[in-house]
Amino acid sequence: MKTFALMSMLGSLTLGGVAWAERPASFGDPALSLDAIQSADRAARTQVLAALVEGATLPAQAPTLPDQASDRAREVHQTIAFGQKGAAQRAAHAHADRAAKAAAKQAREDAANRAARGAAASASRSANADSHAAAGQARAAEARAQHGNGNGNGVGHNNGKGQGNGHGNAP
Amino acid sequence: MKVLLLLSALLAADPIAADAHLISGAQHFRAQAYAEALVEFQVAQKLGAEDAGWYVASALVKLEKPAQALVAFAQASEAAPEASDALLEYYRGLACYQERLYVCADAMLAAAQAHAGPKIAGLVEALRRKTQPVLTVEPTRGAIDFYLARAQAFRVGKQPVLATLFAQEAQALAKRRKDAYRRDDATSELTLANAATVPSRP
Repeated sequence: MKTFALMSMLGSLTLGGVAWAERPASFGDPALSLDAIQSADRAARTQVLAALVEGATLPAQAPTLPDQASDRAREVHQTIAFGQKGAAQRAAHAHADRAAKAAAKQAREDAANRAARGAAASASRSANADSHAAAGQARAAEARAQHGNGNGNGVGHNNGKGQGNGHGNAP
Repeated sequence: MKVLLLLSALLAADPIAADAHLISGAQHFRAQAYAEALVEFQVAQKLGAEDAGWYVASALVKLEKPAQALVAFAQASEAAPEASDALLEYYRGLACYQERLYVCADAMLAAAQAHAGPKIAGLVEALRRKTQPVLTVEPTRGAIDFYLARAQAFRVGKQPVLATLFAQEAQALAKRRKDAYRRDDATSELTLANAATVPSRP
């Protein structure tokens, strides 16, 4: 379609410089005659103009002549407002920064505390275990000592060899 | 060279595809989807529909981008002056109104009033009536300072269309003051703005 339109245009140029609008409608595809294209053009423009008429309205705002002085004043006001806004934003950022740092510090401290508590608990458990073990060993040692002494004294399972063979069991 | 330029323009043009985008733009405009309508009209314009520039400008008015709309209207009136009508002049007047160029708005609306259809004629009349209060009081010095400052800023910013419009507004307002406050400044600024206007077409 587009190719044909271009060919039509080129064709019109080669026809001794005759303007495209003046070329005979019978040139090329009759379905795309000049009349048909012009008719389509008109239809398209009619639609656009109808839409523009439909969309035409009165402006809502009342007319006011501008004033350079008030315009400058407004600019200054906006600058100040912008400056205040900027300061507020900077303060907010700073506050957020501080809050974030504080939160991070708190988190680190909490983590450290948790770790410390964990370590302490672990140490405590370890210590308990050690103490239990130590106690057991102590009891075992004591039992061995008592058993050994008795055996040595001919008490218990004395096989007559005069040597003790006691087994102390730690609890 | 001119033949080559003409040839390239003809090769870029595709009236059938342009029409499809115009219709799509109209549908979006009706649905109040002005951003989408703007894109469709811009595509149609690129495909060779020169009058689509007027619709691009009108969509910019609905998007409340009056400065861009005024530039687009100026380009459209240069590219396809024959496409203008009362409806499009009303939109152009609206762009002036939105940009607080009330003298400009009133001039556009006055031009549209004579040949507008019933709906647009009613809107034109209502908007002109609404604008009257600011056009009948003596403008303040601050108002003239404002328009001159804007004109200068747009000229320096290489926006000659807007520079011209603001300088014209300043000049019109200065004439309405008994002391003709800064009228000469406005005239000088207008001359400079006009000089800065480079025609986009040879």
